[in-house]
Amino acid sequence: MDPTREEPEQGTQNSVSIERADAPIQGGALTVETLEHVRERDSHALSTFFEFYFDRVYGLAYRLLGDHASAEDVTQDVFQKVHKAAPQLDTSRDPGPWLMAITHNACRDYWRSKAFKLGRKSQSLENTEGLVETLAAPGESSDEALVREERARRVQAAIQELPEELRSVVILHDYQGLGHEEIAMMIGATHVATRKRYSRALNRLATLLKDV
Amino acid sequence: MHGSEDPPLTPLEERVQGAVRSLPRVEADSAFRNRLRREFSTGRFEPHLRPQQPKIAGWFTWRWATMATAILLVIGFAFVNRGPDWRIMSATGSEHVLVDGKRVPLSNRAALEGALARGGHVTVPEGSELTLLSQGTLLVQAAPGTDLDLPTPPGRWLGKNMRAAVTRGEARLFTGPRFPGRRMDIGTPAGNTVITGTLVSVVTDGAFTCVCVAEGTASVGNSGTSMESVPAGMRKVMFSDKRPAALLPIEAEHASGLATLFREYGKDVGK
Repeated sequence: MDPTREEPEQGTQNSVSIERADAPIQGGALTVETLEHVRERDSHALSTFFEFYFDRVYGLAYRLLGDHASAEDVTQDVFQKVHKAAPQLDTSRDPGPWLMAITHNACRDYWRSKAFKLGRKSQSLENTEGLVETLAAPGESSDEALVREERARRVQAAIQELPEELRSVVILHDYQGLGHEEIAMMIGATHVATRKRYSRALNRLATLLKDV
Repeated sequence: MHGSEDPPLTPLEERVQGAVRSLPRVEADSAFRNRLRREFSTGRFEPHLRPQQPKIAGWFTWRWATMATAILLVIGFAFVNRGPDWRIMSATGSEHVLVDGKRVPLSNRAALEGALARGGHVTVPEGSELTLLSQGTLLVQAAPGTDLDLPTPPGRWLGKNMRAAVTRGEARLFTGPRFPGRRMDIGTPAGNTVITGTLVSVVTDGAFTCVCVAEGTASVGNSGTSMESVPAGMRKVMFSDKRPAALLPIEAEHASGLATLFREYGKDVGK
């Protein structure tokens, strides 16, 4: 990771603002009060914050990097940065986009690191989904679960085939559910460029996944 | 956030978009998650130590693999390219010979063959004679009282050329069927000989050198500019004191020695 990189400022990343101290920031789970405690590095609040965002951070890192070992490296790096920056947290805004931006930047650094390039050569078999994904969902047969898992594996493999700039956009938009405007701010591109990249990414994926 | 701002999609792109959106939640390793939660809530982060990759993954990059492959190929090629070692065809006389300054009894074939397998400086004393063969390529006979630099046997594809030297006595050379395409330079005190496929003897006593050609031709001369082709049945005599060289008919004594060599070892050489 590049220690000199300036992480994005939280305030530039979202449009949610809160008026009441106990108003939920997102999905009714985190309140302004909790975020105030996060600023003070209260242990309980930090734990709540972690539980709320861990899956999003880890999921984004995994989908962008394609393997669990790299995703763990990046996730640890992200939460270290967040802990360091906690006193500057803007409690009036949703920290989600800010976290996604940090995660995306960390992944970009990781892509370019020697460790990632070396790791890719030696772990081509790790691109299988986790155990949770192989278990059948309620009402689903084990065959259906296997088909679903195979489909997810192929989609993930196709995503890994995309160049970094296209991969980021399609994951941030379709997996993380961010809008093009947010993605544009996050990756430092124009709105039009982001939409074009998204279009190209889908087009490439369609070619790679014709029979899915 | 999805939908309205997306550009129009083809049905296939829509299916792909759906596939990406329905990718399942990624489950992290619970031990990792618990450890990171603890570290994040306490602010005490420890280095993230994963089980080490097998060491081979660390150093066995493609560069190392390429280098190792190249080294193996070079070693393999050197092994395959290596020409047949010198083999003792006959060793007569009761004395020792000197091989690179070490005394080796003529009676001990195994020791002699081991010492001469890849060539060396050989001194054959008066009263002894040594005949060596590199299978299919060249037979060398060192007459009594000969000092000879025996070359490394020629390679099959690379290192085909040999360089020998006769400083005293007589060396008889008989090329085999695998010799064509190779050449052998023989240095003597009074001149040089280049053979590319022939039956010759090189006789020298330091003051003169006589190259007798019984079969084929040899290129003989004092230096590169005066090399002269000597045909079968002729000999060229060169002098160390710069007297002019002479091209003469081969002497009976040397013709007889070469004829005997042909008779005795022609089959071994492959002729």
